Amino acid sequence: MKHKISLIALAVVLITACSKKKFEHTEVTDVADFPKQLVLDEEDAGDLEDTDKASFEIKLTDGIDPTGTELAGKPQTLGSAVTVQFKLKDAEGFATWSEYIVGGTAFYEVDDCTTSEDLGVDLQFTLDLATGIGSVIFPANVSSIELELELDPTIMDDAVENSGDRGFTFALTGIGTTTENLVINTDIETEFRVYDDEKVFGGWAADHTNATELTNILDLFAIANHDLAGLTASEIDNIEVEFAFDKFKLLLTLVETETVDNCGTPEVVNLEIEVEGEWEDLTGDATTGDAHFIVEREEDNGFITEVEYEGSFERIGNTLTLTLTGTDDDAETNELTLTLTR
Amino acid sequence: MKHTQFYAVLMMLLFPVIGFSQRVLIVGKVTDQETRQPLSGTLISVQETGNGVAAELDGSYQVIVPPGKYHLIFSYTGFQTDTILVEATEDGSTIEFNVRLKTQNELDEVIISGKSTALNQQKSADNIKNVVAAEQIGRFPDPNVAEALQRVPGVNIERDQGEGRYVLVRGLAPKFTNVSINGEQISSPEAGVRYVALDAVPADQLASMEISKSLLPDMDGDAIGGSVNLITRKALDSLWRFSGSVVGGYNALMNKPNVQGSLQMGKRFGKRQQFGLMLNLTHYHNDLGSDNWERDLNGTPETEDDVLELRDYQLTRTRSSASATLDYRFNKNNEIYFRGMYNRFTDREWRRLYAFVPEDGEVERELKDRFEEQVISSFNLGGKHIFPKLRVDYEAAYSYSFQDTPYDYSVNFVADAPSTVDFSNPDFPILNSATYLDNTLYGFDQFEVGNTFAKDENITAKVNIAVPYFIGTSKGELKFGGKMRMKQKSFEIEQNIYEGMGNIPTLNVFEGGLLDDNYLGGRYELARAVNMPTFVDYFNANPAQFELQIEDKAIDEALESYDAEENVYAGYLMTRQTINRLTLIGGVRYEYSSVSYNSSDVVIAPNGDLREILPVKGSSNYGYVLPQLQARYALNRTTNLRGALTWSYARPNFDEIIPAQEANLEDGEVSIGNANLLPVSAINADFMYEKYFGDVGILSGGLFFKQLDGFIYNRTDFNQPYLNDASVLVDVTQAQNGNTATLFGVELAFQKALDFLPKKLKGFSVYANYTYTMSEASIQDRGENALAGSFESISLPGQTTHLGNAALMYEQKGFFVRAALNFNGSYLSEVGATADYDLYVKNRMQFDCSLGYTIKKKYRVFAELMNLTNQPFESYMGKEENTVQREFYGFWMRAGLKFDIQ
Repeated sequence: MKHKISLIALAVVLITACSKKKFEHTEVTDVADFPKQLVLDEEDAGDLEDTDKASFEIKLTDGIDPTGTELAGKPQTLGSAVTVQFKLKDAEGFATWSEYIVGGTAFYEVDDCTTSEDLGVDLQFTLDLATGIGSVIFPANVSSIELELELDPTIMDDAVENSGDRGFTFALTGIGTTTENLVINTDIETEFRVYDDEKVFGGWAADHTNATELTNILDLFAIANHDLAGLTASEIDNIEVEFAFDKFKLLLTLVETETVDNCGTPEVVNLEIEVEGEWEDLTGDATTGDAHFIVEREEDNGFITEVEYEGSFERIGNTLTLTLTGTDDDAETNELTLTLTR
Repeated sequence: MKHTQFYAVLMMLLFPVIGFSQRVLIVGKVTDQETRQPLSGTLISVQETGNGVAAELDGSYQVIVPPGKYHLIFSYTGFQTDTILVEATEDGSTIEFNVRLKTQNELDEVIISGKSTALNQQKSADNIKNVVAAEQIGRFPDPNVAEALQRVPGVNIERDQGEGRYVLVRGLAPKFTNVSINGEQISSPEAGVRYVALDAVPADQLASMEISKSLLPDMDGDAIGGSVNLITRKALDSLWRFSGSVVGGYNALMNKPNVQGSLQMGKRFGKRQQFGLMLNLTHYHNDLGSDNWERDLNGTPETEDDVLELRDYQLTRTRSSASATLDYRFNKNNEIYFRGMYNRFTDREWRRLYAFVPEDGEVERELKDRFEEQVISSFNLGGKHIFPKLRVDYEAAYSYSFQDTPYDYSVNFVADAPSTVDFSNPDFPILNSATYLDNTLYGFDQFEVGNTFAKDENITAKVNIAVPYFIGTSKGELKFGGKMRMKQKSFEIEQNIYEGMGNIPTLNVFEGGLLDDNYLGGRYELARAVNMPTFVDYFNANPAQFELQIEDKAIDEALESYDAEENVYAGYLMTRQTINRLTLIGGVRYEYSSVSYNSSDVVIAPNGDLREILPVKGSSNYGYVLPQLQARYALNRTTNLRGALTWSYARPNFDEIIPAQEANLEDGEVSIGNANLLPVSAINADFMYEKYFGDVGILSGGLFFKQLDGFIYNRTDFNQPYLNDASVLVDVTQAQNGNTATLFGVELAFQKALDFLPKKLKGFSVYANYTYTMSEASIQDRGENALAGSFESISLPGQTTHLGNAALMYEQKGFFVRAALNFNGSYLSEVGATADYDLYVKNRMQFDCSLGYTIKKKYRVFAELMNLTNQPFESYMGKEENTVQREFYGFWMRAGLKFDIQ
């Protein structure tokens, strides 16, 4: 009898042990319950010192497209509007918010030609210039809104080479009460930088009528954009080079024109060829330094090839001397010097 | 006599329906006189005709003779041979004779019965096979079926975390061996493959294991290496019989205990003991781990850029199983049964990883935490009926297996931390990194949250009909049957990858959990890793800081998920003819397979964007005619000569045949399933000599040769124009049929009591086997500069030249001690894109030891020590000096009590 009791006990223990057991762990929020996220567009903003506006984009991150059509995700919207709070901070180059900022507005794009302002929709933009704290309504059925601060262009626009950084930081701080499953990312901040046009920043013109200058430009940048190869001076209207904090851009405007649809109005515009790169290492706000940027070239079969430019720049007065060598996987240009003016 | 033999051979060829007239059925049961245990495999031969049959698992036998007087000879290795005179005069009648045999010597009967049962079944089998009984399994410290199988001649195993998992029979990869429970193939819980991870099945669930190395026409033909059949227990006694074990143990690497318990109980009910019930429960809980370093070759001669990974594993595994057998005998000739088996294997794994990337000056850290549950279940409902003029058995079977991974979390951090790694020391690379232990340097990289569910379902029905006949006094049997199996297999996956979108704290904020302060014997220092619950709490509380990678999710989920259906229809016709000492079995089997599947193509554009995910579906059909010939010649009652010439094949895995493509045009890499892939077909020749010893032992030696046509390997064609975009050149990897491969082997086994030793040393015995194999496979030249139409030779994946076991036992007066060695030589594990990337597993020898003491035949206390020499798992790539992995497990032990009471 003792045997049987012991064995029955053993059986019970074994059956219990065999029962479903998945061991303790902390469950991650199911992807279906993962909240929508309001974030600030991560790209740093900036403009030359005479600019009269600063823009910031607040958006919802993309979500899974339940139909499976948009494989990379589909823009999400809210079912009901929510108030978004933001804050301006870290002012540099000016003393008070009211000194540099004279107003602001918020809107969203309905389509390429229409904004919410055109429809008379008020996003109730507020900004306390004493504290830099403000708010705006993020409406339902919209995936992003844009905030545009109106700046006084005279405050920063001087004729001296400024030694320190100038600008301010825009940050989201919270959202109002909502029934949405929504969170706001308060970690991402966007820095609006004021570029000193006494330094390298801003637009520079190249003299395309100068045969040497044109040849250098075309030789240097044709490996980044094959459309440049074989152009002649007579085909070119003008060439401009722009330096921003993190971007390099060559804009070549052709004489040839085309008619485009500008929100229902036909408009004749010149054709443009663009070469845009990201600075790897623009040495500060100096007037002289190293140049290092990378341009992505899209091949006919879709591959992306990186073209790397390295060299130096030096600004003396209204002349910028840019010396560069371009390389990709297969080719390398000679070291060529461009002389730009403004 | 010559005429008789001629007619017998003619019978085999033409299957004439003659000689089915007058006969008498003699039935009965053979048991051990002392223990009343059935003696399955007892050879019952008819002296006057030379015909013979073997007793079944429950000791029952059936002999059919024409009316007359006959001497039935009952011989069972280790027991005294008994002869009975039977007068069978009345045509169509059934005569019953139950026989009890006496042991030959004074050895412990319980010990003898296990070994002798197996050896007698092996001796009397129609084909070449090894039979391992439960008692034999219990003598080695092998907790799961894979590990028990490693003791069998010609069987190698692949391990996972030191525990046996897959079996490789006669030098062929796991996919060449089919695995059955109670005679019917079981489904595989793993995605994409057909073979079964046998660490899910506890060894003590089984009554015996049969490893068939040559096929009969009534066996499934998709087994080139061999066919493993796991047989569960059946009630045999009229009294309740309880047996089982209570075991506790210890893992030296983890300093943690393990526990195991098992209970078997069975009884036959009714006045005629017509109803049998057997229940079997086991549970095993093990905390284990491993210390592992791996090397990721960067593909250039500059080894200083190779990545070193330090992997510290912590695992909790459970193995639970329940089985039941219910059988009902209406009478001596009619029986129905139900057998069910349910195995559940769980594996909780924490992997703490460092990856030193000298080229980037970075060190990556990962914590993986996942739970995996595997269930393998099998249910068989069938019957056996013996009529005077025919024998019928039939069965419906259902097998359902799944692998459920409800959570698979992996969080990665990365630090700018320069390091150098010197791989000139192949045992332990020399690592130099000043800052890698500083957790404050590690920033968040990504968090992966996944879950998967793979399932495989088989519904099978089969029927076999055997018709005995005589040519003169030579008995024969014509057998035919049919079978159909409907398989449904699928894999579902959810994979969510989150990247950071804010100021997520550094690793030190989340650290916790186990810290291994003696990693790889203290050769490398580790810092505390991420504690997953701490990180998950943070993730759940701060979702705004994490961004779901929607495109990656779409890619991962589309790439891996699939569903497939496979229907197999088979029929066979065979005959078995005994002519004095010669038994011939010949026949032919036809198997037709129809496969259909659904999956997805995923194309990533050259610019890195996801271009498209397209549904893909397809189907394929194929049929095989498989002639099978077997011969057994009994030189005397203890010696057999065997020969076999058989045809077999192996189906491709689902992940090889489903033509879904993963095209990453940005990286120039494409892998495509191959819908035109054919099964591997094989012709097998086997010869075997077996000498059985009266004191329960065996000396056997055999040769085998296999010629495989179209064996499957992964081939990479470099710089090929991509299908839909010819301007893009890609490296295309696809499973393909190779040319011919050959495999030759020699198999030797010796098992015997060393009774020639002086009396004081009586009790020593030896168990040893050795298998030598060599193989050569021809494949197209590999590499970027390979010429079309040129070929190179490789060895077959899984084939090891030397393989063996050696065990020395001492058993006396209830005490036993056993030292066992298991050895496998190095072998090619994976065929790489070029020979430089071929992955080899290094040779390994494991030393285990067990000892115990039997008390009053009912109880046995025992202790077992495994991997006493801390043998690592090692692999190398291309050349032997390129060691790419060394994984250490430490030793582990267990001790407990086994009981067997009525």
